[in-house]
Amino acid sequence: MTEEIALTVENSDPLLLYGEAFNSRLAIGSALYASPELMLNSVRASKAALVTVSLRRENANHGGGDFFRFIQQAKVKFLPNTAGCHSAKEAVTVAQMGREIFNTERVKLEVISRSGWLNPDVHETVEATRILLSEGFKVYPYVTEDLSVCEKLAKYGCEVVMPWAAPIGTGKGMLNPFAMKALREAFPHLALIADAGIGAPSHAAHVMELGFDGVLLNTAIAKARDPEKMATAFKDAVIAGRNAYLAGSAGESDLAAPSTPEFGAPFSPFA
Amino acid sequence: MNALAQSRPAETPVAEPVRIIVNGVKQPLLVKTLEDLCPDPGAATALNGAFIPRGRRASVRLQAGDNVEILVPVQGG
Repeated sequence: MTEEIALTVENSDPLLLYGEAFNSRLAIGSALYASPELMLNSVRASKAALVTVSLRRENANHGGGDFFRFIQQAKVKFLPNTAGCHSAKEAVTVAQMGREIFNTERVKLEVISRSGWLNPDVHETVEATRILLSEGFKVYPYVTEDLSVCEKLAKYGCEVVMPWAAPIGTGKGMLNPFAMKALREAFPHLALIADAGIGAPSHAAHVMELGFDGVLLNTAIAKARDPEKMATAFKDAVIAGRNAYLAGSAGESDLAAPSTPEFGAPFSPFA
Repeated sequence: MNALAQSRPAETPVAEPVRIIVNGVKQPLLVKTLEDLCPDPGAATALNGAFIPRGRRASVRLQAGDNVEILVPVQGG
């Protein structure tokens, strides 16, 4: 019964990505888990809207078919990534290969610049986005929190943009809240998903409180002592942050202000 | 094009073994088509950096020096 009520409430505020409606605003990765079973259980516990997957060379002992068959048990929607690509050309090819394998137009577009930071090469990303959109892909580009990059992506018809909260795997939470807030204000109609660098449920809630449409993370769940429990914690944090945004914050003040009425305070010298 | 260029043989000399690169590894070319090399419907292929859809693999004849990528699904972030 509780489940049904929760679902009804969430349905009144679905996440829309390229016209596709999702009940959850959380997307998670499928990598770095200690075992496939832990991954599957965590995916289920997270109730994630999307799960990121990837492609690697066949001869690298990945057991591709096995992985795919296994994760399909979760009955989730896939978001194939282009991780490891360093140019628009490479990313476009890998996106096309991912579309064939995973049978979806969605692509988490990742074009990386420098390995130490795993920072997006925004120039190549913008170019790859332009090409992929023209080929009918639903592009989810991983970018920095730069306004002009977002502007270009939107100009090409991109409906979802995924700025990093912090570099991949650092778990530092949002490093530049000012810029993230500016993105939200500048692009009210773009779906903004904070991708990477989210280390704790509070980080996810923080991003959602700013009005972001969703959060994507992997490491913080997969590397937790109890990934399944952490997946639940993130699910709850994203809902809490979203509700807080919709509720509208009371704001903050540099001066203290009493909550209890001052009038009629006991022992007051005044009547 | 000058006369010298025109007189150059178009094919690799027969004495040289015909090799291709598959997933970064140089190997002798023992098959005719991309489909022969990768019949797996669960894998995706690219030839010399360009995606080749599953349905076109049988019509792509491999040549000396071709660079093939064969990718399979894996976990990702």
